[in-house]
Amino acid sequence: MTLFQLISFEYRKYIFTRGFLLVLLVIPVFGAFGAFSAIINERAAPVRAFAVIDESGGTYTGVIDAALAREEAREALYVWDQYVTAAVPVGADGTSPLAAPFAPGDRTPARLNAFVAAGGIKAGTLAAAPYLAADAPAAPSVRPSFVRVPLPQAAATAADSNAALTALRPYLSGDQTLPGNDRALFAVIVIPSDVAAGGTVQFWTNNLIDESLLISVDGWITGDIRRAAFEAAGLDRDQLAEIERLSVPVARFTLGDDGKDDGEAGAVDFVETYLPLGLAYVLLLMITSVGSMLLTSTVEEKSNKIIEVLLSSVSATELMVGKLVGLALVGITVPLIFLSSAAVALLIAGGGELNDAIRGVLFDSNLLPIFFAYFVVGYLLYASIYLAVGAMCSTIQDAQSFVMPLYLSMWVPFPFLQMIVQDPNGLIARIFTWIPIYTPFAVMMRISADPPQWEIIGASVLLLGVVIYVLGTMGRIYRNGVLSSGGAPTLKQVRELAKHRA
Amino acid sequence: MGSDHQTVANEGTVLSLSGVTRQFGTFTAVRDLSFSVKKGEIYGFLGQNGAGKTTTLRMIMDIVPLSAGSLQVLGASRPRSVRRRVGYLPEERGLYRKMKARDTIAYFARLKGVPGGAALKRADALLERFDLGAFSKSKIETLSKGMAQKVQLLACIAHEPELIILDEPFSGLDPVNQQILEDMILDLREDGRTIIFSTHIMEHAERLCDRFLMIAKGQKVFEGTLDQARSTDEPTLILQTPDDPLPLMALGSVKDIMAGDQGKYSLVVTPDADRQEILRACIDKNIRVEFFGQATPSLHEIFFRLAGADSNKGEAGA
Repeated sequence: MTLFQLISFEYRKYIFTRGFLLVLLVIPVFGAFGAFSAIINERAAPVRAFAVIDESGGTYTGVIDAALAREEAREALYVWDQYVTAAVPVGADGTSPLAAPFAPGDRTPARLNAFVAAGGIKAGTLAAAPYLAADAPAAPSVRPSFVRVPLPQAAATAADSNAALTALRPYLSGDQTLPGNDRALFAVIVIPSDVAAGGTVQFWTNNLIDESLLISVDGWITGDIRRAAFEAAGLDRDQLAEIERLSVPVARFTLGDDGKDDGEAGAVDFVETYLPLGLAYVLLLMITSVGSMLLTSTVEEKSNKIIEVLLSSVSATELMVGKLVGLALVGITVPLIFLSSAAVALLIAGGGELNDAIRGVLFDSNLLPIFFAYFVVGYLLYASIYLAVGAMCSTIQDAQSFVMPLYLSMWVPFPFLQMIVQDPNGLIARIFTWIPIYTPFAVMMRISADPPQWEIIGASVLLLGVVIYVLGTMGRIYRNGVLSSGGAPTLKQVRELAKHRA
Repeated sequence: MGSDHQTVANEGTVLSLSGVTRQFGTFTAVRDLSFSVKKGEIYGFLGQNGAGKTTTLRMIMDIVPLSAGSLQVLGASRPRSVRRRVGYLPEERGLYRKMKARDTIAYFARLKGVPGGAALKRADALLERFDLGAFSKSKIETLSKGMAQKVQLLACIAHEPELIILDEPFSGLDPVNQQILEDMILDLREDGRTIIFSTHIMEHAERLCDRFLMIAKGQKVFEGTLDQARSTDEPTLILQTPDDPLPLMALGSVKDIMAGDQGKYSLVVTPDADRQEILRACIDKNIRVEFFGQATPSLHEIFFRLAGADSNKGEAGA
């Protein structure tokens, strides 16, 4: 009853605060911001216009236009396939009721051509209409990233390339916008007449960051010149296209447990590797933030002299347990709220390879029980130290000088994280597994790589032993130190506090 | 003194200590201390700073373990088991600054086992009774020191303890609040509670206490009523005169003469001294008498004499 009061007091002290509610609010907002920033970025990116001054008489303008159209068609087919997979239920035989080229499938050049010839997304939408699922969203559309615009009048009628470029300068700098819309020019590409003989293509732009158009245009023109050279050497265009289409598929494979679940690496493997890593970070953050709450709370009770009133009602051990449990619950509350939100979200979101993978790793594997078990053990280890330090010090400054080394040592393994992730059963990973203060983090990071069981059990037993020892010692320091007065104790005094039975 | 005092717990005894000693390393804060407190009395616990008062009270509350001896609180030899029937106001006072007055009182009552709803009701009732009703929802940090101290006292009595232990309850209070606290203590006694309070301000003890204990350097120097304390003193007469009273030393019954303010002299006399004879001697020796009578030493004076307070510099540790 009394212990329950203490736990509930500590819990409510931190949970029912504006700060905590803010944290609850801020985390999903940041998460959503991260997740959607890519989409927002893509949606918000303007369609960029560029102009071509083609001294070759229009040959390469044609090449660029054709390449742009091909890119757009490829993108359209990609989003179409994704849309149809989700929006059109497969028939009883497991195949799509749609006919080629609208049925989802391999995106071969032949299918791409057929898709464009059949009318692209617009025609596909009409063809799919009878088969759409009841809650199917609207058909997607494709927005090109770049569009070539014809030269404005002043540049088109210029005497030569230089004059044309001069005429285009205000459009490039943004002083003037293109006729018909209010856009400036993103780039001007000057293709010399001797480009096939090694002449330099000039790429004029004010944007030095986005190089995608430059790289694409370079590829397109180079490709065309090469093809021309091959043709000149006697290869015909069709043969050439055939050769260019050659590509060796490489698939990634990973080993499953006992060689049974060997399979192609996919979303599951990615999630299995990185989710525990993320959880290890969460574990560290939880332990450090809750630990510092414990420290402040203990120092507060000591410096505010509340401690003696409390001790007249409860024993120092009860007080300590109340604090440890209350704040552990605080620590677990945040991940619990987000895990349950994740569970609900995954339930609503339904299928999908990535969703299935996350669901599988989070809820069907033993990752979460391991996470919580190590949270409890790791938390007790660090928290009891924080508690003892708090009990010995009357000011937060004194306390901080004590916990600083602990704090620093907690972050030591993080530069090595990459090594543990890359080689989860390597030397570094094994060393950290056997150092008790790092065991929880190291095991979390290694868990997806099936580390030897004896190592995990051995290191965990060692950790447990250390936790019991530390908890006992720190408990004695807490009970002895909590009523002491004066500044931060010397190491000798700390040893004394740890020795006596209160 | 001390170990010969065998306290037998009986119905009327709320607290008894027998040969209690507490050492911190090589320093003995309390040595062989024995006393007992009866039900319904206000018991003063007097001593200088560092005399061992707080250590003794902490031992009674089981916050600090005994090094030797034994004690009984409300009939139990393990004070922990009767904690809920005891209220304790420590010398070093503190509250959660961000907590409201009402919640503070209720929380400490709940820690003493009062159920949630009842704890809040008692908090409200106490705040009303002691004129703090308007501050019930105020955070502690917004209250004045006197008010916060009152809240703390209410927090220590909200579980309706039979025994109330107050360590230096008057320190830091202005005279008005000191008077309010005195009234509160008397009220609590009216309710049938037993109250032990420590102080180094003798006037409070003189006004409030039925009995008191004096300790110096961790040892008992006196236990009893004010009258008993006075009777331990050598009989002293007060003589007020504009003349020099030194010739009275010729009388065998006058042992010493000490000069005071405004022509007042304290005459230390033998227990069998004849006051009429001393008065006659004054007239014979042409010493004009403006006032002549029995001295009633204050507790303050008794304390100084018994505890040898002036010679004690007192060490920290209690």
